Amino acid sequence: MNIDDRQQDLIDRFLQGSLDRAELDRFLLEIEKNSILKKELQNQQEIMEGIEFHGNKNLRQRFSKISEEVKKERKSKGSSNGKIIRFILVSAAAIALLVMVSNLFFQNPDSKDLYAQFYTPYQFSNDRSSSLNKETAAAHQFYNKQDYTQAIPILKTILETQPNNTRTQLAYGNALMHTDQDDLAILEFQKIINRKDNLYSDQAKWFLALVYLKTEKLESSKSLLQQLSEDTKTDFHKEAKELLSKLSD
Amino acid sequence: MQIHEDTTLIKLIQSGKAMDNDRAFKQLYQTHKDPIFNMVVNNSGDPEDAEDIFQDGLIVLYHQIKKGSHELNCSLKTYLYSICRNLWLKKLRTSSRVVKLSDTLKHYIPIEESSLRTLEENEQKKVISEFLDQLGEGCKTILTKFYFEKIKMTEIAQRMGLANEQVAKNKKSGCMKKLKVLMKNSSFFK
Repeated sequence: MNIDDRQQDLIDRFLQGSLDRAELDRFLLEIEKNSILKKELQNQQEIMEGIEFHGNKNLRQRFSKISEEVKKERKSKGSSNGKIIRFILVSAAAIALLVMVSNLFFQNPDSKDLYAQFYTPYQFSNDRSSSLNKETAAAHQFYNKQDYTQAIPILKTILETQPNNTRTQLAYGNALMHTDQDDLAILEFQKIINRKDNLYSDQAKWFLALVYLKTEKLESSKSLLQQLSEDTKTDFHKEAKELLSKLSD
Repeated sequence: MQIHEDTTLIKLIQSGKAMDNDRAFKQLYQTHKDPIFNMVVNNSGDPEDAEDIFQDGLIVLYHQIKKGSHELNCSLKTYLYSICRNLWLKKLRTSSRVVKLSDTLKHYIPIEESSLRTLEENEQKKVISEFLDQLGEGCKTILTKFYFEKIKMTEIAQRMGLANEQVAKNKKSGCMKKLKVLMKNSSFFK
């Protein structure tokens, strides 16, 4: 016999320790009276422990990767003042490690790894108008120095007066991604795509697909990549196809 | 970017985003591993033991932060060291390798035994973990996000591109049913 949604919700909240005192008392009373619910609780407790074991196993794998990264960084830092031969050896080791890591990406891709692999920040290059505009020049300067925290308010101010300035909007979206304001970045890229009448729609789709990947909205990401991979005229056709195939592995 | 504040690290771990979590874990590796590593190696352990103990300590820390119940009256450094110290003492006790432990940090706090329970392993947990792999990515993701990462259903729906919380709940319920069928049909649970 199955339990209902309310009972399922109570079991979940009981196992997560989020029932308040009164709810807990009522739940414990219900369990005493209802042997099916009691059995179900026991069953789900075992399942939760299994899921926890599974999650811990994945955490250990991530820790091992991070540990290697930190060791590698320490080694390369230590070698920067050393002799040339030592430098070459460490570099060779680092390259070998990179090859191993990239092989690992190939064998077992996850969204975070793929995002890191495929994301290249938008090139916010100077044009004639920006050299004449103090604000735009400052935005370029901070953005290209990767000082996104400083760049964001300036880019935002520019967009308040020029909401259809797509290049600025792409840079703004990228800066938001870099500072983990992913939901805001999504909105900016969506605005560009919805305008339809510009030259930058594909770039916006590409970055939107990547920010979806970063935030683990895989279906939304795949849908955009599908569109880009089917359009042979776009600059992102090849990359989208490649990323899509890795996501489908 | 260097992250120094414990509160920032805690927020990164609580966020439930893999990238944020890994930034925090990397920072913990960079700043807190050495005293723990030295404590293990100075007390009859080898580098491999030290790595294992540090990873186990991080797992315990992760769960305590997720539960919102880690002791905020001490720094993360002290807390992590205390967990690892406790774990190493347990391991030494079971292998009867050393009697008195020499510390590399002056301060450590008592750790509740219940917080270490997450590290206990048994055959049943392994079998359920294998069933989880058999369920496919969608089910594995939703069950892990809800039960392991403690992410709320509304957020899971948003992250997985599902229409709303109810759709996510239905999906989770379907996945649980599939998992229970696998368990029911398994000789292990008979």
